[in-house]
Amino acid sequence: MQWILNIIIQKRNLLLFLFLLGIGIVFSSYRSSYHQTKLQRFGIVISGGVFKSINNSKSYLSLTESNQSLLAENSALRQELLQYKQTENSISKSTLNPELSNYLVRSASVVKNSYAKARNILIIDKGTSDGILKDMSVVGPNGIIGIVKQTSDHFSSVISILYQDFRINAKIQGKGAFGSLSWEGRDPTRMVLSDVSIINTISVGDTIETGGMSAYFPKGIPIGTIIDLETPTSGGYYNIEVALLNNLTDLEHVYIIENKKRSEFIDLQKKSEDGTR
Amino acid sequence: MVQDSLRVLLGFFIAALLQVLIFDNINLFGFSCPAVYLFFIISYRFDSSQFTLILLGFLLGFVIDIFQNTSGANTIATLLISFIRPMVIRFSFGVIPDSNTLLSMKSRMGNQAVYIGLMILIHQFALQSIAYFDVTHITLILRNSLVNTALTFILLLATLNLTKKKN
Repeated sequence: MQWILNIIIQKRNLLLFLFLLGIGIVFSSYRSSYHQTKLQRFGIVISGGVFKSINNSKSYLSLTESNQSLLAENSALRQELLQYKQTENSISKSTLNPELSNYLVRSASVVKNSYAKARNILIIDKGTSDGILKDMSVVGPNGIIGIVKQTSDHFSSVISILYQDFRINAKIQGKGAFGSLSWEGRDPTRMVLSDVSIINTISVGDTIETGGMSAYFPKGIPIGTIIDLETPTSGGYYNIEVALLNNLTDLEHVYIIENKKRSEFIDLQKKSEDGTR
Repeated sequence: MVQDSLRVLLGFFIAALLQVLIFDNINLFGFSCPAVYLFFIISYRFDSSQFTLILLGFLLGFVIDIFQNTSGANTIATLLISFIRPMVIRFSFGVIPDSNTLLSMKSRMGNQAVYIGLMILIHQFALQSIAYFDVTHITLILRNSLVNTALTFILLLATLNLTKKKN
């Protein structure tokens, strides 16, 4: 014990310097969003590298489970492909979804995942050198995961849908009812769908999917199912609780979707907004 | 002892006030601003506690950052030179300087100039590097560091000559 005290006394200047330097860095990132962004990017590189090596060793232990889930996903996709081919044979090509070619899908592995904070971030092992850019959408095998927030050369951070203040445009599958999906910060398997007018007929068990009204997510990606529905005594909107299809607490592989026409969409949106001012 | 502490505190406030009220308004070539508050760190007694100097250096930089509305670069740069000052003193004056304060020092002017110049240069390079925080801006960082160092050096040398105890 004595020697620890001796070291602290001997190195007190260095310890004080390092302590105050830490405060200075926090102060710097607090005062400037530029420095915050730069420090965060540095953090992605460091934590990405560390967690990737941890993840590599971990993934060996769950190879069987990973293979099974990939097989299941493959078979579902094959099924979809077969149905697609049938449609192609029976009807003309023009009736097929033309939006499909607007999107480019890349796969990535999750190296760090958080789901217990108020604002959760994932880190994936693909970055700008793999064509990943800010604001691209990230989906999992069963639905949406989040949006790319920042990128370094080989890693990217992703804002999880489990992120307070983050709202996603969503609709009820097969119906025209749109709403806004958000996370209340409690249960990582549950989200809340708000702003759905009570003039729409909806019921427990209905599937929620992306609405496609923003430039982030393509239309029609499943999100979850309604598990609780309250019709308010006052006010014209439902209180809807949604169970997510994706298990965000256990993510290994994700897909990043690039919307090739995103900039066109944003330009048009901006022009329309400027025009209405 | 109390008198010394009061003198240090007074020096701290004068350095911060002069910087914030007068020298921050100098804007030579549109980008250069002298960091005259460094006089406090440079002229701090050599035999006084370095622990206190590190704390005061941090606080001085912090105050300047608050008033300049900058991102914390002054805090880190001033903290850095407060910490490395003993090494710069050893480099400039040898192991034992002939006096414990710059204000009554008889060493050759060259040694004093090396000490002051190095302290300012390290401070300015750290300050500009943190402010730009991007290696692609290295030319801007170097230009600003060198011009600011030259300007601050001239002003500090003049201040030192004005405040130096006459024999």
